[in-house]
Amino acid sequence: MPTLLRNPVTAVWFLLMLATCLSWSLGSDHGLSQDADGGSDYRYLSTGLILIAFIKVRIVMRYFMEVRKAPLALRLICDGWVLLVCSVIIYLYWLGLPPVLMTL
Amino acid sequence: MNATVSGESALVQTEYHTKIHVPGEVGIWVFIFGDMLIFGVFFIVFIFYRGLNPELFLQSQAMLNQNYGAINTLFLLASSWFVAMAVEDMRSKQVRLAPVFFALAIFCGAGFGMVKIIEYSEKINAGITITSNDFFMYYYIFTGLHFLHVLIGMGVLVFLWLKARAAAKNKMTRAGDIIEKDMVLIESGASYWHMVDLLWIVLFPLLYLIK
Repeated sequence: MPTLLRNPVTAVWFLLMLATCLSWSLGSDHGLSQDADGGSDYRYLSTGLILIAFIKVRIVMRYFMEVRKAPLALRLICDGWVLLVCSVIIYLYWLGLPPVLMTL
Repeated sequence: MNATVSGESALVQTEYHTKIHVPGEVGIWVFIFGDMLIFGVFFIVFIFYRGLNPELFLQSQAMLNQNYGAINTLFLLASSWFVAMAVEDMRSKQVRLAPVFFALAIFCGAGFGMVKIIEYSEKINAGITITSNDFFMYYYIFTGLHFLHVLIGMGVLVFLWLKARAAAKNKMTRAGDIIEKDMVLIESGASYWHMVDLLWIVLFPLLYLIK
């Protein structure tokens, strides 16, 4: 048991739980919607929330799914998916913002 | 004697930790990437249509309870960690805790299911269904398909738990070495369960958080 707890996977799990709580508080009603009313920073917060999610995904792949020890092809496919899906989502998110907010 | 056994298992563990190794069967990875490709398209379709009608998506999103989404993320992360620990324990060839870890993982998966059912019934009672609007159509389709994956994953976890229990029992009677074939099965099932976790990690901010 102590060996299991000293495992890097456990440290990574704590990090993932922390990141989730951070996203939770950033994205909760007290955080984002007030910013949305104010009209300034919620776009960056939303982008940050998407980035945090994909960093978490990469960590899950590398440490839980053990992709970090897998052959290069598997590592490339995983990283490729993360990079592609994440960047298309962020691009479309900014593209879809109402024009009035884009000029702020 | 004990020292030799733990020395050997440490050696086996080191081997696993340094060797390049595909976790589970190659076939399961084809399946995992197929699923990830489909969900990747889902995420992109959602964010594209969100951009066409941001007002409607924001108003609808405000009707979701973010706490349910967050608690479910924590449930799946904990579950994934238990599975990862169980796999480590199986590899150490001293299977003691793996059955407990798998049981805890199943428990967390059930927690996810409970929260999901509470969430769906609240929405349906409030008259919000798949036909309400575009946002809720995507919400029900994506979370519903993901929930289907969770249910299949729970079946897989029960199977892994039985395997781990058998391995723990064998340890009492004979050398107790886990057959390579069994280990491949366990890694395949574990990888599938981690993918279910991974997809929810993206669904959570897309549906519940971003403004």
